Amino acid sequence: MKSRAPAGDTPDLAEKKVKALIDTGAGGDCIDDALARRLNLPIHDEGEISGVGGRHRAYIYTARIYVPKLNRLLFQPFTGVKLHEGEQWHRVILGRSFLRNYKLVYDGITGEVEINDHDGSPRSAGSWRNLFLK
Amino acid sequence: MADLKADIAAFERMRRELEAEHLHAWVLFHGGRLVDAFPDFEAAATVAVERFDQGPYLIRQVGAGAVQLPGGMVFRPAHALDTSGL
Repeated sequence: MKSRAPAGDTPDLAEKKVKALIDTGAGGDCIDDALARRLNLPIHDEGEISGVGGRHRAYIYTARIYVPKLNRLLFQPFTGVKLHEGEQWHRVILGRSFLRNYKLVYDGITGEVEINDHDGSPRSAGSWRNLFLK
Repeated sequence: MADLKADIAAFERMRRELEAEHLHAWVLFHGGRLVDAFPDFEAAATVAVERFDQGPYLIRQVGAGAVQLPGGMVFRPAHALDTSGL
């Protein structure tokens, strides 16, 4: 789980190019259960998920995730959910807790998404096109 | 998961005391004992990984409730299950 890169360098984590969905309808962040287990991420809490699929046991993993386009290293809790088993294309869901530091602008006509700093300066203008938002 | 359950049980035993003294702080439990309280998750997780590596250990925010997940799902931590109202 620790970066293999020297301090100050771009983090070098075990898994690369993990696809993530930014979901403004989610408060917390999620990770694919199978991926979390394969990476042997520590489980630091457990609970229960309830929704349209009924109820099931869930674990909370501690994970470091680096977002290259934002040059941001996350070190936070991720709820384990069955994304791969559900044939989803993404393995991570980033909810509003991730967006807390940014201003997200969604253009419904073009489908473009911009993530800006609070002062409006672009962090990733044009590079997050066609992300699926809920 | 046996040790995580011991840590959760220890949290439950100390819950009132934690809510009185460390409300909204992130607490770290290991081996059935409170290690420390931290202002944020990152601080707690940094100590947990450095001292206990893969664990098991419990990191939990004192007084935290259910978390809204995608698709209308809700995550409830173990200590909130008996107050879900469902």
